[in-house]
Amino acid sequence: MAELYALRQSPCTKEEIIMGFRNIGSFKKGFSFVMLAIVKRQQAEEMIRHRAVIPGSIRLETELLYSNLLKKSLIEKDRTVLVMYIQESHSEIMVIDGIRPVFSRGFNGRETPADEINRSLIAYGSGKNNKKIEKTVIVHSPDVDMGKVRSGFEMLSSMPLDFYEDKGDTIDSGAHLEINLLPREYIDKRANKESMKQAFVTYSLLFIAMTMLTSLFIFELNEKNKTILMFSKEAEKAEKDITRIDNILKKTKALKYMEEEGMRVTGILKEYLRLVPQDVLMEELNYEDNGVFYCNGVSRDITGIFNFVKVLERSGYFKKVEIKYAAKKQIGNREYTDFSIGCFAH
Amino acid sequence: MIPVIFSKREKYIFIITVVFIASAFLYNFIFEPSVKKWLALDSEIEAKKAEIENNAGLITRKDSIRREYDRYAGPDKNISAVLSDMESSAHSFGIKTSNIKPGKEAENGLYKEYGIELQIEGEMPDIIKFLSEVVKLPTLAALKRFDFKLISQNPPIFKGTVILSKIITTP
Repeated sequence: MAELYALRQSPCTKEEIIMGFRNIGSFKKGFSFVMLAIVKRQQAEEMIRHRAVIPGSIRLETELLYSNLLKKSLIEKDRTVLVMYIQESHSEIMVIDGIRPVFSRGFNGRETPADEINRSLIAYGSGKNNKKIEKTVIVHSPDVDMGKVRSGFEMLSSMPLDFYEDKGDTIDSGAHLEINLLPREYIDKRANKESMKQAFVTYSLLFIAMTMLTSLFIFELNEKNKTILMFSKEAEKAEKDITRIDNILKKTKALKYMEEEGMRVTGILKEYLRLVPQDVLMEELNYEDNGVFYCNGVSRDITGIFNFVKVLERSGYFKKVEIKYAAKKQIGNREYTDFSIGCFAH
Repeated sequence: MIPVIFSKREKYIFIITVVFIASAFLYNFIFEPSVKKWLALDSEIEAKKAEIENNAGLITRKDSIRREYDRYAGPDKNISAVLSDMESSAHSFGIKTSNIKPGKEAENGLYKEYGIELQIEGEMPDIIKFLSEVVKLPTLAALKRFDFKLISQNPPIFKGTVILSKIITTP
């Protein structure tokens, strides 16, 4: 917005000027009070050309002076103050209404300050809305002969004068400045250079970090390989003894299995014979090594066979107990049942 | 060389593509193999550590393992001595034996397993006592199969074949 306004006021094109602004404050109605600085590009470039090193910024001395007056509290919020900054080479007159600079004028040190001040005050006084100056502050550099100047000022002004000697700290570089009149391309070039430098530092750090991580990783891998080698040697040393013990364990396991297997099958046979009811006569018993158990016999009645099957199932030694065959036969004058039972023994 | 001018959108797509390809390359050829190698070494170290701990445990228990083995393998004899022992044991229980013969022989490097076929005749309680004796130490033969038939009722005498298995360890 400030840029558009400046362009409207300036007779030059956008390419011919460089501008900068500082927002001083806002009015209640919503307007902003802006310190606007416009410089001809050509002039700025000539200034740059005369320097050996391209400067980082071109500052407006008025803004610099204003910032430092604020910082050092040489101006008062409720008074209109005339500030005169006198140097051997360059001087500046500024009128500050509260905290707003309302008038500013710079002039060469060679010119007579009293005349310049007179002219400036007449120019300021011609402004209808400009308030009456209530206080005057004179800041001067130590190289200025103030004896001569002081009498001139006292003649000029009837109001009290405050004199401050600038010991080189009135305009210091630590002030907060917003106006930069360095052409954009120089700023961009400097920013690019700066960002390239930053990128270089960043990538260098990244590379160093990556290299360190990779080194650490390789070191750790080597350490792990060493550990494996050490363990392998240790295992190899005991291998002969371990093989012998392992063989003994395997043989013991096989022998134990033999014992358990023998006990198990004799246990099945014992259990079976314990469960055979009184009225059943065993005729044939057969056991295969796949666990299939058969028994054939004779019972006085079929009910006895079914009961026997139930008893076998309940015992826990036999499962899937089935009657494979059952037929009645006559022996003498009595009737018997021939049967065959098959099951899995475990 | 024809200069290539990219639009802003193309530039972003180009950068994203390059970043994607570089990431894929780094992941597939550097990161993943490195992690795999790292994990493989870790698991190898764990396996070796477990092996060493296991070995140490076995060496510590060496004497008790040996004692247990000696208990089972101590009475190891040759197969003919085993057959002879079985025969005498059968007689001591009043069991008639006939046709005692060694069966198939299988060897696995650590021991030899012999099959033994035995025909026996006697009352069932005596047969059970005999078989219970045979499957215990010192004979230690496993009962594999049996087939008994009742040949007389008063008293009930069973006759049949018993297949046993006996392990004789190699030194």
